[in-house]
Amino acid sequence: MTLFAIVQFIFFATAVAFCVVGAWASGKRLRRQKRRALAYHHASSIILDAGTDLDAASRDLARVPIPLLAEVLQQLAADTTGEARRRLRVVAQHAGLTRRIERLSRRRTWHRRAQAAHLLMLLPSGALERDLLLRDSHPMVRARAIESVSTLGIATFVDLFLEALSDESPAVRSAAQHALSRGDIGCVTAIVEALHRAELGELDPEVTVLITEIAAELPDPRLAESLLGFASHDDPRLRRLVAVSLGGRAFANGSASLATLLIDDEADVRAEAAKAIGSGQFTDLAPSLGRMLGDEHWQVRREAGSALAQLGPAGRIVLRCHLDDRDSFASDMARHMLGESSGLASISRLRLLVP
Amino acid sequence: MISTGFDIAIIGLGAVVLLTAALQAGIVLAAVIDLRRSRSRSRHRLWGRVMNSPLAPKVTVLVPAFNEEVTIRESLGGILALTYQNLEVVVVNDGSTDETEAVLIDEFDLVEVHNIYQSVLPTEDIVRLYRSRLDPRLVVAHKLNGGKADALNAALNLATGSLVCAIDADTIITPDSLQKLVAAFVDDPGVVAAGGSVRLTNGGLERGPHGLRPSFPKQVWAACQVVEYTRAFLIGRLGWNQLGGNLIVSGAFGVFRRDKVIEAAGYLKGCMGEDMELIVRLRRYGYENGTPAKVVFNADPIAWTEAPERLSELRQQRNRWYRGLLDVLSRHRRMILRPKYRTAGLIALPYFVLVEALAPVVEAVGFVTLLVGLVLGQVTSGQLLFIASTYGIGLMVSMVVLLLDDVAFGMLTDIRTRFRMVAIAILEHVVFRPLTIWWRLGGLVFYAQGRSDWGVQVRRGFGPNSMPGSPLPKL
Repeated sequence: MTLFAIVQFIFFATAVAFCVVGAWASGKRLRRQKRRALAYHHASSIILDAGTDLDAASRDLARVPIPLLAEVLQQLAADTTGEARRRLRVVAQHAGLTRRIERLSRRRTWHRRAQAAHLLMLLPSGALERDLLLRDSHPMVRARAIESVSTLGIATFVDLFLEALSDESPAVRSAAQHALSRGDIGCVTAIVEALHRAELGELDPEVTVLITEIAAELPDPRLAESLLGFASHDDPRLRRLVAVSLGGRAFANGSASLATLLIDDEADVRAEAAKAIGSGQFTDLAPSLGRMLGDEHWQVRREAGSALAQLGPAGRIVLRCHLDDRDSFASDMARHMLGESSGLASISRLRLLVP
Repeated sequence: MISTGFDIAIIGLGAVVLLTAALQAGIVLAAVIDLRRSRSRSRHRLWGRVMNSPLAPKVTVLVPAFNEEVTIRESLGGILALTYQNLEVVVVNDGSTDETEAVLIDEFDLVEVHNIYQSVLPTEDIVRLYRSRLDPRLVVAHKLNGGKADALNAALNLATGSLVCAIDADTIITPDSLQKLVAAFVDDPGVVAAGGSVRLTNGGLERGPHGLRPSFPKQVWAACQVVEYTRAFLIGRLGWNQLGGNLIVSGAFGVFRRDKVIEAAGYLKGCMGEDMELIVRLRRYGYENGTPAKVVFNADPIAWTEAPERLSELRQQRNRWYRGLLDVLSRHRRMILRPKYRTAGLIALPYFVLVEALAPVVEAVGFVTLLVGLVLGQVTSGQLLFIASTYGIGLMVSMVVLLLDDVAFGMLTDIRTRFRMVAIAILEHVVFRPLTIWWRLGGLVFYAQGRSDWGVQVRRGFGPNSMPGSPLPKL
């Protein structure tokens, strides 16, 4: 009887809590959502309208609870630069947020420090907290801090980001890699230098791969030049990245390297080289590409066929030569591609098909 | 003599129910801890800008489809609307007998391309291979029917991403779900599989303050399944996540490391519970090779799916799930209670045997005993109260889970739906659960007979406003 009564009591208590407390909490959540939207609107109008009196407006914003304000300014900080960012910093300082970030960055719980890391871009330059958070013991905090300071300009922190590429945590390495991949002219020089050191074997192989990935993504021709040195590197990942890099930009000196990569031992590298020839329009390599139609690896054959179709008339001539190839796949692929690429319209259509 | 026998039977039944409830209460507690930790962790994860970068790992979304002409358009639209940058989508039409292929060709402007791929995992033949002219990330393969596992293996053969995401063709996911799941792999290279929560969309979806939110279904069986799914995901996934014994990543939405899945020989053809089987096999393979495989669950990324509403379809589904469970437990019985397999072998698998596999049998025996006892007038009011109390504990666990889910995810707003949900929770426990026990017993018979039919679910579609990319009514 007692057990039944206890069970009944707990069931009803949870049911009531679910209905009443849940509804109350849900209402509270909606009200907070509304307050947040209002605060966001208010803060964004202050920051974006240069004519607003910052002192008076900041006093208004100071009435918004600090955690809510932190959330709003954090979102705004991610989307603002230049003068708007400067005004945002002033607002944060007047509203007492800067002090909060300083306090949060010294808290014992990592997620509090991660909150501070989120807001790091609101601190004045040279703030001690920035270094503290960038070298925090928790990887999440370090990753967040890197992501946050990357919005302040990559060139300023490029050395720090390059150093973070050898961090023990994959999250930190990802954050640093991402930051560098959004880099401008200022950071290209540093990356070229790092590539040079990597070529000399001064960097860890994994860090070299990360830097090469960044260099392959950035469109600067100086990087392509530096990457050519890796075309004969022992690590196939690096050789593949050289091909990726050459396919992504018009780089005249790339033909010789691509020709070497096309006969690489690794199928992945050959496939990427074939793809790069098509996307980079290296028409002089069309005959070499034709030979790849009979490659032992399926992916290379597929990429070679697609690339030849992309090369236009030069590619079609090569494909025609392979119509009677003894290799049934090469002839079949040539027939298939020529069937598809019988006119200019279908060539452009085929380009869409290449992933 | 008879009375003593009934006493023993009823006490035995009560003890099993109490033990189950106690185990579940423990897992709920673990789920609360995990929920707190994972929410704090996911708030600071790099799933925003970094996961949107082209340097993020390439993910191939695998979509096996069999007779999905009604839902495939919307679910693929949802997948292609994902904000993840480095994405590829491979749809495998597993010999559909309806218009799935025609719908795909028409909707995504597919053009047939050379049928060439590397057959790492053996599958039925791929008859035609298409690429979309509207979206070059989309690849569609039409293959001979070979079942879901075979379709997934074919998609794995075609995939080029280092990570693969398995999504059912009748499932839609929120645009940022993938980033959140992939972040787990970036954070920890030891993770081989990550799953997200799956919720039901039978009542339709609307835009809530925190993104898409389901309307509570009006259809009673669908409503019962909402309660059931919530409980299953909070206990079965989050709780086990905290305890390190996660054995299931839902086939409807999960991300895997492709090389590890291929190393473990892909999905097992002919297995009813291919999603659970793959996870158990990955874990087993990891332990046996000295590289324990981490399987994580993130409650935040949400996938929406449609549950069967007809009793006949539900019966087939539950029957199939139960056969799947028995199949997996039987195939991996050597892992049970072996210290070598740590939490998976010592706690999780014995729990699945005791609570998931044996419970229907025990409960059915208990029901029959109780009925016979009542007919013979052998059951005392004290015994009835004891049984009611033990079932009340199960109901209490359901209520706690619903409350927890509400506090954590805030999916509900109005008080009327809440009252309805309490009523449905009671109904689910008193009517739906005994029904599932009956269906599962049918599954036991089918399993003993070696039957492997899947049954058919009639798709109704998600409704006009359900696609994440489409305009939804404003709150």
